[in-house]
Amino acid sequence: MAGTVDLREVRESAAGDLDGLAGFAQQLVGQPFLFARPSYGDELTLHFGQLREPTSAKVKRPRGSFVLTLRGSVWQIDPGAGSNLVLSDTLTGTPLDLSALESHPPVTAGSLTVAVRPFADPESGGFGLYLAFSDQSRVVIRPDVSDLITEADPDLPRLADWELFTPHDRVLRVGPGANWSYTPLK
Amino acid sequence: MGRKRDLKQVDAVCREFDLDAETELEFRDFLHECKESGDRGTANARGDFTMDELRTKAREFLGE
Repeated sequence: MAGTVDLREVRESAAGDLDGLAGFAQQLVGQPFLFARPSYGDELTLHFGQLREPTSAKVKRPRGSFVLTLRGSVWQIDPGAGSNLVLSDTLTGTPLDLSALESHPPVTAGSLTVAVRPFADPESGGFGLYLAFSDQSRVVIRPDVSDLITEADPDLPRLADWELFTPHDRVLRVGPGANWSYTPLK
Repeated sequence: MGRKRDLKQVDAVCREFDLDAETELEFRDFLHECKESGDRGTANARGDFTMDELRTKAREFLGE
């Protein structure tokens, strides 16, 4: 059955609604992958769509019109035709400086995002995200459960598991847990 | 200490300064660009910023 998603809608709080989350996440389908870039704290960010200048004069580099931030998640990138699986956490692989993903992106720049599938992650009780691209590369993001086990940093706010900043003046914030929201950027 | 404590500290400072989502995203990039340019914090050998340093950076970023 056909349907529509209002990309300007606001959902302040939604818990456990995987179908609703999947609906808002679909706006990434068809967007070209631009680049991967580390942000503060060795957080990987993935940029899609069109290049967009920052609003603050204090920031030098442009970003994508869509930005996926991998906050409190573990992730892996399968470059498809390439041979090196890229993992956020590995005990056996070769250590990787995230800036290398900016100069040698594991997803081919310009590849189209062909599938975006949030999924219920049984280990964390939250939502992961699966992305597939036209160059056969794939990205899987899952909430990091290490803090759930240790109940670390009670003095600090818990991180979202991942976020999608959109050109529709909205940010999709997912986690911690099965909570998500779709709210204005400003 | 939990993993990604540095990210949580930035989130805490963004709340203190009541930053909206887009400003928060750019503040994170600003901090990263500061470190890349050699303007590093003293929290650890990686040059991360302490909470007080993050508050100073937030004022600098906001032009206060």
